[in-house]
Formats: sequence, structure tokens, C-alpha cells
Amino acid sequence: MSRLLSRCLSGLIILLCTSTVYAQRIVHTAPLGIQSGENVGIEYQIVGVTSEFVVETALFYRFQGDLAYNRVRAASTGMTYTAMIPSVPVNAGNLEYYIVAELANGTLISLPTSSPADNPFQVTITRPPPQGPMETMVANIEFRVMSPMPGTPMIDDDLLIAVALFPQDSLAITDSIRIRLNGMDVTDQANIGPYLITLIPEDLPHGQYQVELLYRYDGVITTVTNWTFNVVSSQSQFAMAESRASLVNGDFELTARSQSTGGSSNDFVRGSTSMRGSYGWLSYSANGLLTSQENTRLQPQNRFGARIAAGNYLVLEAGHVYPAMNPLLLAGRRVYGINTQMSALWSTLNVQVVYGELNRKVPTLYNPIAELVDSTDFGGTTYRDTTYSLRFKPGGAGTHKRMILASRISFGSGRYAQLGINALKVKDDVKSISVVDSLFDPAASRYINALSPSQRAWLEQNPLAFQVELSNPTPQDNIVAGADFKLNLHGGRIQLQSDGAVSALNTNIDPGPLSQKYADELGVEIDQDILDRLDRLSWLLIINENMSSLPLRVRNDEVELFVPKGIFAYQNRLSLNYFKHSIGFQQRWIGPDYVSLANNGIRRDVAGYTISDRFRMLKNTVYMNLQFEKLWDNLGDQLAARTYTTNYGISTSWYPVNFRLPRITVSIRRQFRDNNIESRNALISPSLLDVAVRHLDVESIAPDTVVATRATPRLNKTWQIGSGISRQFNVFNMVHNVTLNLTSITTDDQRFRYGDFNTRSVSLGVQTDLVDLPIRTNLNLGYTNADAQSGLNNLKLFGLVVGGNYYLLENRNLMLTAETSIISSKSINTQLDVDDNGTPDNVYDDFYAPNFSTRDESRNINYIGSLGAEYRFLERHLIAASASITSIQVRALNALSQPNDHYFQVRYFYTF
Amino acid sequence: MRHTFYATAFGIMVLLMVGLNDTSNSNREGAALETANAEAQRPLAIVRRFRPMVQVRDSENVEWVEATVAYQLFDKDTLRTESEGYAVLQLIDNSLARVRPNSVLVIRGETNSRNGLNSRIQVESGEVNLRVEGRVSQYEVATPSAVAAVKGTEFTTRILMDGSSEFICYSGVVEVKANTSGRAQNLTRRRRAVVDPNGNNIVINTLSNQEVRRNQSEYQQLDTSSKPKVVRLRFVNAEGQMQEIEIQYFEKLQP
Repeated sequence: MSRLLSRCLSGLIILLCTSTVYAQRIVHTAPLGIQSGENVGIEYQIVGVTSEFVVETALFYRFQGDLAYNRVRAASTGMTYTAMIPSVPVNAGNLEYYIVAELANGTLISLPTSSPADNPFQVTITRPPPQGPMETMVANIEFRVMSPMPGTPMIDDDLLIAVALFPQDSLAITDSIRIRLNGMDVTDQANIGPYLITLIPEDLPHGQYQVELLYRYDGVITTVTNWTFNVVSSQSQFAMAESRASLVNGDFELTARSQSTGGSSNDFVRGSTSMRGSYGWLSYSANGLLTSQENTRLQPQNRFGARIAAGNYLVLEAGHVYPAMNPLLLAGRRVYGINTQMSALWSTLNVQVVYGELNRKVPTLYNPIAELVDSTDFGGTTYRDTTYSLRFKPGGAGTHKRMILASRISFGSGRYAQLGINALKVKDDVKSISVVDSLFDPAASRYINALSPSQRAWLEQNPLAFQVELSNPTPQDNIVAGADFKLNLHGGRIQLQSDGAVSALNTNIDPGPLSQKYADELGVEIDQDILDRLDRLSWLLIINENMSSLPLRVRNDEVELFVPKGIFAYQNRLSLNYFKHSIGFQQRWIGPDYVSLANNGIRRDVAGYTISDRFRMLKNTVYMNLQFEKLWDNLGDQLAARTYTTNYGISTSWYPVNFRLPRITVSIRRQFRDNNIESRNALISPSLLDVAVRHLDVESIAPDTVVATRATPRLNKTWQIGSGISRQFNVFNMVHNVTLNLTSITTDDQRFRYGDFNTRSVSLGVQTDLVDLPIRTNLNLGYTNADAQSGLNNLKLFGLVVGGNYYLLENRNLMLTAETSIISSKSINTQLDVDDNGTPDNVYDDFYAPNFSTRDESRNINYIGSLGAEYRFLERHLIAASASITSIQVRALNALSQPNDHYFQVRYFYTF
Repeated sequence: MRHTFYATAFGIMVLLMVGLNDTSNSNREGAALETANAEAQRPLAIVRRFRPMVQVRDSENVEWVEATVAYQLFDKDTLRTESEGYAVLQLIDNSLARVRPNSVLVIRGETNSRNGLNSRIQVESGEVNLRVEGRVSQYEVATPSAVAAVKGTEFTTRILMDGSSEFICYSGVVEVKANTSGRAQNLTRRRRAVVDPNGNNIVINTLSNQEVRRNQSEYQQLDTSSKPKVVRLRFVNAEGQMQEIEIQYFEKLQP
């Protein structure tokens, strides 16, 4: 994991933020590839803004084939943010993700900047190479650890270290193997044969131990594997077994952190615990998190939950639960309530019910009514325009309490087949918060009463002068019904998964069901029978003019009910696993109006198919990924054009058995985006056609012509090429792992002159393990050069990170870490303005032109130093402290000096 | 600066690749290191734990040898436990065989291309519980009247007093085949098969959850009892000098 994170840190791939935000950018460190089965740390920086202005930043990720993105909040250390993606599935093909940051001024910046959910980063997932303590192959020797299993406790009077060897070439390895226990060479005590190594250590004190298996070949010493285990007394082992069987075990963590970023402090204390146990056929668990960051203006930060399961028959979860059903409806969203699952008839009949609160209420906070007077002189007369405005306080926009009721009934255990039927209802509590919509709203009285009598009197005579917040929260109502089916054949080699759903959403249920009064205001005549039916349906869904897709249409001047197709969604996935090939077919259709408020990560208005194949060759040393995907939007013809996106991708990784050979990964991806719209504007010169602001069908415009603009033409091609190579060296009795990554991303926009992007980056990482001392060092070096908007914006970034770990004390219970880094960036920005072409009254002949007078250049250097220590004691306790300081130097015109960022953190961990 | 950096990176990549030639030479040298050990016999299992004594006899000797922890078992080795005996064998694919008192078994097999085992455990008498790890191995457990083929499961094989063979499946699937008639039955969890001594008939029935738990708890007790208990005796002579001796013992198995 640390190596992977290190690789992520070392690669510096930068894409520029463009469009309206020039100064604030997300600078990203993208991994070339990640391995399944591990946690992945994605790190990025937000430059051009101090961290105090970053309200929140998160990474949205999904694995190939998933419909929805999962959101993971990033943790910050100064300008650097890290989002941890937990447990990459073993059978996932690609990881897709994008990054979003919300700034204090309300601006949202993202990476990629344009439609990030539609253009996410794609990172190839490879199966882990054959290494690790359990089963691996190094230097033509495959081996398997037999005892003790990594991380497990061993009783002091039952100690045995055993490793089975499977040398492919029957090498004479007996004299080449060395075995060390906590750094001590114990080879002489071991029984080493060509196929088995056994060692019975004597009188080992209780504590943690590390076994290292070394192999000397051709004068070079290689660490074949190492793993740790704990030695405990038989009594504690017995106690642990007892606790596993009948009591409770778990862990507790307490963290205190003092942090200053951008001159503002952010201190917190957080405690969390999780515990689990079982008694007979009952199993139970509980977890809790308490933090000083709890804030009634936010959704719950303090979280707790409990779970009890009675065999395979009943599962009851309560508190903050994360239920999952049909992925089109509910996929792990937090619910404060209950989640129950019941099974009967040998798990062939299953029922799941979820009930609780999706969002807790956050009351609105308004400023006092402000009187705004606008004076205008006209013809010697001064005209005064007075308005009274009611606006939110910063962060005062509230949230309605949102409840969810969902259920699923399924038939079949899922071992071979299962059919599930799902239903979900999400509804906001209209009365949970007070929202002022108009002067006559009862909730407005408290604010109006604060005005002077004369102001109130004037306002009563001029009610239209009262302005309310436009971004008032609106209560919503949503129902979704769906079905899912899965089939496993031939021992799971053939898997079929189909999901379908239909939804209805009302974006504002405050007015209640559609009434004759509102129909009259709309000028349409609705049969009373229809209104009565809508009223009777209101227990299920309130239907009015605010439906995201109205089930009403006018035909022959009459309004009738109908079912719009945009509210449907379905997907089918088929995977075949034969002959070391994992072939996948996926087809999807998500309507533009399909909405599940319990799963808002689903990309809407998209259809298409994906074909992929993953296979292994050459004795599992070469891994290949092939992918073809074609997607399109505008499924309801609601847009002016349909955009087709076609992706071709191939990646290959070579993990040779011989450790002396380099490990190589190469990936190539080609993307086309085309909406089949040609550039056309007869009002401007043909040479300016590729910078035109608008595109028109008409040849000329008369003064009273109503002009319909064409959709913005889009045709771009992107090449993304990445390569990485790593190799192990042994020099001066030290083991070095060297990794080099090269990446190039080139986007050629053939419709817009300033739409090209170009990024080139290179990174080098060296990790060194000293054989004679328990020291590991890291050196990471990276350089990136990125152009955006066809070179109008450029960013160069250079980073150097040097650090290391040092283990001390018996059993390596104390670890010291230190790291220092320098990140230097230089950016040149030229603003892209709209030129009115000499006709300020005619917007149809405008074109984009760079404004070179806005060109600015800035240089930013960050010096970061951090120290840490981690101490394990009494087998189950760990205390860790870390501190970091960041010095930021900005060299630019009118640049303000920025205060240093720093933090100090102490963490205590206890397992029981 | 940019070109210099890329040139340096390219140079490092070339250096890393150059290792190909270096390694190919090393491989040739490595091939020369092959010795007569290449044909050495490969152990199939080790004795992981036992009480109070377990004996092993290899195929070329008639002498029984007392095994110790980490004692290696090879193809065709025979292992036996006494009336108070119990042994846990760990096979090289990390599967576990737990041998109850008064048992005799012969272990046979070889490693396969996936570093698993193709193994047959011949139960001559007594009872063995086999927990197979992973899917890289193929196991057969044979009795005089039947053969059970397993893959990734836990089950028990026992020779009953009348010579019939009993198989109980705790997880996964076991195929039981009667030797003489060739009849075969699949056992799933909690199913029990008894093959008559002549290897003709197979009788299937189902164990209650209570019986399953009782059987498994017996093995847990055997595991626990395979760790010796310790008694320390202190002796004080007339001059007040004290000496302590430590005695390890195994508790008698409960019937």
C-alpha cells in the first residue's frame, strides 16, 4: 500500500483548469496503474488559493461497470489533499474518478474541468503481481508461507516458522537461503531443504516479530519475502479465542489535531470505536464516531451504528447504516435509521426493508431584511427605486429533512439465480424548515416585524418590492421501482446481471398536488377526473407542475396522462471467464429524467455499450486489458445535438518471475468525441469560424429576426499514453526499487482553435531498504509541463520529495519518519475574451480572442517538512505523533505573502 | 530544462532495460548451478502438532519413528496415533489433516503445476478430519471400502467398528464412491454417508446442527489438549535451598 501511495505521490501529472477559473487549479498526481485488492491514495493539490478558501474537496470514483460514482472526502495537509479509495475489487477492470473542490466564494472547480463525470480519469487496474508473504515467486522460486500466517498470533509454546519452496529450475538453493528474525540471522537454527524451510525458535519473548527470507544469487541478496507475526502466551491466545467465540473484540482510536492553514486554525478531537463478536449463531457489531467537528449546519459528523445477525435468517442494522439494493436505486448511501434483512426457505426468499433519514434538517438562516435604494438621474429628475431584500447568511441555505422508505424482495439464493423486486420512496418534510417565499409567507413576519413601521407600511403598499432568496431549498418527492436479476452458471464462469428501474421526481412539493387554480393560471383545462386521480395518488407521489418529467401532454388541445420514456433506466452486464480470459459486455440506457434521490451519483442521459477483455499470458507474467466503449447522450432529444464518445484502450503489464528483470506497464487510450455539428456562421470571416462564440444556420439577420443558434460544434481526439518501468537493484548491500513513469495526454480539438490540451510528465521514485539496518528511504522526483487552451495557459511543476523510516527498539516497536519536499510551480495565463467584432449591438458575430494584456506569470514554491513517530507497546497499544510545516512563497505581481501552514497530530490506537 | 529532464528520464529507462542482457547471462549461470538436489524428494506435509506421541514409518523401513514438530512426511509415509494420541498435519498447500486417536493413515501424492497437491490419504483405521484450503489441490481420502474426492471443503472420514466407512461433510461438496459397486453420491453440508465394509451400498442421512457442533467441538478439544500443560515442582532441602523443575503433561482424553 505504501509503495502504491508513494507511486501516486511521485507521478506528477497535471491538467489545467480552464474556462472561467484561471487562477485556481487542481493539480493532480495520477497513478499510472493500480493493483486490485489494495487501498489506493489519490493525492492532489489545489493551487492558486489558500487552503482556508477550500470549503470541501472530494474525489468521486467508480469501477468499470458501475453506474454510480462513490464519493470520498479528501483529507488535507496544507495545500495537499489525499483521498483514499478503499479496497479495489479484484475483478475490476478500470478505475474512473474525478475531483471536485468547493471554494469559499461558492465556486466549484473540478478536474477534469469539462463535464468531469463524463470524462473521468481512467486508470488501469492490474492484478497484483505474484509477490507477498503468502504466495509468491522471486528469482525463479515460488514459495508459500505455511507458518505463522502473517499478522496472526502464535502461542509461545507452539512456535514454528515454515515456508514451502517450489524452485522451478531445481536450483541449489539450500546454501543461498538466509532467514532472519527481527534482523537477527537465524539461518543456522533453521532446517533448510530444497523444498521446505522450518525453524522452531526458542524462548521468544511476547511481542511482534518480523521474518525475512533472503536469497543470495549471483552475488546479489534479494529479499524474497518478509512478514510479521505476534507471539502471545497460551493464556492470552486462549482468551482471544474465547473472545472471538463469545465476547467482543474491536478497536478504539482517539485523534487530536491542531492545524493552521492559510492563517486560520482548524483544531479537532475525534474518537472512534468498532467492536464485534459472536455467541453461537448470533453475531453482533457496533461502531461509533464522535468528533468536535460535529456541526448542526452540516449533515451528521458524529455517527454510530449497531448490527446483529441471527445466522442467515435475520440481519438488523440500526443507527447510521449504509444499505445497498438494486444499484439503480440505492447503493451504499448513508441512512440514519434501520436496515433489516430476513431470509427464509433456505435463503431462497429474502426481504429487505430500509427506513430512516437521508438528510437531517438544517434550518435556514436569513440576514435581516436589507433596504436597497437605487437612485437614477434622468432628465434632471432623480428617480429612487427601493427594494427590500431577504438574503441568506453565509452558509445559511438550509436543508429539508429527507426520509427514505425502501424495500426489496428477492427469490433465489443468488448462488445460481436471483430475481429481486425493489421499491423506494424518498420525500422531504415540507414543514421541517422555514422558508420565506414571499412577503405574505408566515415565515416572513419575524423579519418584517424588525422593520420600522414606515418601512412596513411602504412595503405593504408595494409588495413587489420585496425580494427573497432565489436559491431557497425546495422540498422534493421521489419514487423509484425496479427489478434486478442475476444468473451464475458453470461455477460462476458465466455471470449475468440485469437491473432496471423507473422513477418519478417532483422538484418542489410545497404547492401540493396540481390544482385547478394553477391549471387556470397556466391557461390549460384539465379534466376534474385527472385532478382527482392526482389527489388520490398524493400519498405515493405528489404530482404537480414541478415534476421533472410531467406525465401530461397536450394532444388535440386536451391534456392527457402518458408515460415519458426518459424516466426509465436499465443496464445489463455479462461476464465470461474462460481460458484465462475475462470477457465483459455491458449495455446501459439511463434516461435523462431518471432520478433516485438515494443514489445521486448515477450519470443520467447516457446510453451505450462497453466490451472488455482481460487475460493473462506467458505463465501469468503478462496481463492484457482491452476495452472498447461507445456512449451517446441526448436520449430524449432534449438537446440540440447528440454527442458520441468512443474509447479504445489497451494496456499491458509484464511482471516477470525473475526479480532481475524490469517490470513494465504500457497503456494507450484513444478517445473521440463528436456531435456531428459543423461550424457555421455567415456573419463572421471564415478565418474566425473556429473561434466563433455562436454558430448559426441563417445567412443574414434582419432587425426583427428571431435567431436560433446551432449547438456548439464538438469534435476532438485525445491520445493518452502512459508507461512505467520498475526494477530492483542491489548496490552497496542495499535493496533499491526504482520506478520511472512517463505520461503524455494530447487533446486535439478540431472545432475550437483554443481547445487543445497537452500534458507531459515524468516521475522517478527510488525506495531503498538497508539490509543491515532497519531503515527505508524514499526519493521521488517529478516534472510536468501542461498546456491548456492551445498554449494560452501553461503550468510547469517540479517536485522533489525525500524521506525515510527508521525502526528502533526491540521488536521494532518504535518507528521514526521524516520527510521533506519542495514543490515549485510556474504558471503563465492569458485570458480568453469575447471580441464583439466591432458590432457591440450584435452578439451573433462575436468571437473569442486572447487578451494578451491580461497575461500574467506567477511562481510558487512550497517547502514542506514533516516528522513523525509511532510507538507500539503492551501488544495492543499504539501511539503516533506527526507534525508538518509548509512554507509558501509566491512570486508574482501584487502577490500577498502567505502565512505558513502547519499541523500537529497525536493518535492513540487500542485493540481489544 | 525540460529537454534535459526528459533526456535524463529516457536515459534512466534505458539503464533499467539494459538489465535484460545482464539477466539473461545470469540465467545461464543459474542453469549451471543445477545439482543433484533437483531430484530430491519433496515433502508433502509436516507434523504441526501432536499429543503425546505420534509415529511415522517411511515406505522403505519397518521401524516406527517418533515424529516431532515440523517432522516432514513424504510420499507413501505412514502415520499412526495411539489411544491417547492426536496429530495435526499441515500439508504444503496449507490444508490441515487432523488425525484422531487410534488411527493409521498413509499419505501419498505429488505437487501439481499450480503448486498444490494431488494427494490421496489412505485411512487404514480410525478417523481423520481434512480441511482443504484453496482450489489448487485435488484430494482423495480412501478407506478399504470407499473413496471420497474433495476440493475446497472440510469433512471427516472414519472407519467404523464393523469396517464400514463413514464420511461427514461440514462444508463444500464431497463425492463418495463405493469401491465395489461403483455407486457414487455427493455429500453437502451436514450430510453423512456410510459405505458398507464390502463397498457396495451407500446410506445417506443428515446430521442435526447439534451433532455437527458436537463433532467440531471434539476436534477443538483435541487441538487444545495437544498443548501440554505444565506443572512446576519446588523442592526445598533442609538448608533452605530451593530448586524448581518443570513437568509437561497431557491431560487424559475424555471418552
